[in-house]
Amino acid sequence: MRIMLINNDGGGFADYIDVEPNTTIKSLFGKEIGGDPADYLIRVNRQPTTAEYVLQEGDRVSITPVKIEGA
Amino acid sequence: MSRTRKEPLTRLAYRIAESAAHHRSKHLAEAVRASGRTLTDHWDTVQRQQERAAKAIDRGWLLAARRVLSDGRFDREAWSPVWETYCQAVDRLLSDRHAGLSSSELHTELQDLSEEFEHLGWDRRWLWVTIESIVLEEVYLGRFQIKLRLDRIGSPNADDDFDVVALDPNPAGGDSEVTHPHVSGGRLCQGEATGPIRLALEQGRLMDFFQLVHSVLRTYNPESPFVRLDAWDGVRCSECGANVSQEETSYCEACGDDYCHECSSYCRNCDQTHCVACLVECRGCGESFCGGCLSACEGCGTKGLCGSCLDSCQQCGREGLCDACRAACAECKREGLCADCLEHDLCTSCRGVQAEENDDANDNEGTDKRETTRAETGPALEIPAGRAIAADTAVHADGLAQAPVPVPCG
Repeated sequence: MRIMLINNDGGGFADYIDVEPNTTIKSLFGKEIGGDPADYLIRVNRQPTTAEYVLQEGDRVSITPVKIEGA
Repeated sequence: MSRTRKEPLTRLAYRIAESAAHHRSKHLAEAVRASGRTLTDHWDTVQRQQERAAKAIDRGWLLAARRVLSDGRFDREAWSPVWETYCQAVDRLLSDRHAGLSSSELHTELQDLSEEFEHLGWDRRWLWVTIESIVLEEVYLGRFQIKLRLDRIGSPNADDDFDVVALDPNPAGGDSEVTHPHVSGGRLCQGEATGPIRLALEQGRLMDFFQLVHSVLRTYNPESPFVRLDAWDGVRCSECGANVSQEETSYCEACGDDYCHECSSYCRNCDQTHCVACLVECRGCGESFCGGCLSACEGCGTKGLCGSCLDSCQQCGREGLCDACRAACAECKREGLCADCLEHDLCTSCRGVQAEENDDANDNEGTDKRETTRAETGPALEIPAGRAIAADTAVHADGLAQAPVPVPCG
């Protein structure tokens, strides 16, 4: 199924990706991002969510680091 | 429902969408113009080749025609990609007419912002949110306002079109422009957030944009701040401009300014701290001294000499003489004698000894001469008592006085 993934980590990414049905936020995060989810703001359809949320078709997932180093 | 009765967020979202659409169209139109210019230039090149080849063919110069067409092979091969690029740019402009940011999506973004942040505000030019007080490593930096230009939303390369304003400024001690370790003059040094910020603004993801900036503001990167937090209450060095903590500054006793340790030192005589500009190198030993601890030689007048490079004459005691104004006796090798005490490179004592030696030598020479003279002139004349020689008696050139001829004895 297709979801919109917005990854504000690294260089930034915003596009549709395909994921397996019954994929949770936790597994998506582990696959696409890595690291500790506690270090990120994760929203689904613009709302805060839990790691156990099961993704649905067309969901909009945004992931933003809580801390980003300036220069 | 008339536009004037729509809620403010709706009107704002509509305005942003219109502006974004305008900028997006302008950007796409610029791409068409640029690719079109390339296409035209390329076409001119190919056309000139074709005309030259046609002239050659008309004159029967087939070899020349083949040469021209062979030389233009690369230009002909590049024609297709150039044409394709132009066509794609045109297609994007034509198909993007209703694409871009939708006002409904923007309205949702604005609602999220008003719920997420302390305050959401806007005027004709700017959109801003207020974030809570930032404290980094126990340094209070206060609240900040992130201000974004409305007409840059949806535009590519808009990553510099926002300001970070300190509402409760606690700027760095040495630089009032730095209100946050990564904010100077209202501009954020985005660091690792540069790419995501640019993408979020281009796509109109306002919540992502403000959250990214917020994430940078609440993170301290000690590797490259404008001012380090451990020097936040510090002082700016008057020489090099570096911002340093109070513990790392030195006060120059001469000019009264503050300097970092790199730009300050101490007088080797009085130990007072001075900036490097107020310290002078001794012309004798090269060490650094303050102006008050340097003197001039009393002998030759050379200035800028420290106490160690000036000394007194070891004979007469005259003080404040440089090494060049003191020398050693050539005879006894006694050192540190001034010019007055050295004559012909000899000290007073040695001159005296030499003088005595010279006198002795002269005396001995005189005795020998007298004896020789006596033998030649006969026995010594005896002057009768009472027949002193008058003071005005003439003296011969040989030193013998002219005297009345005495009566010989016997």
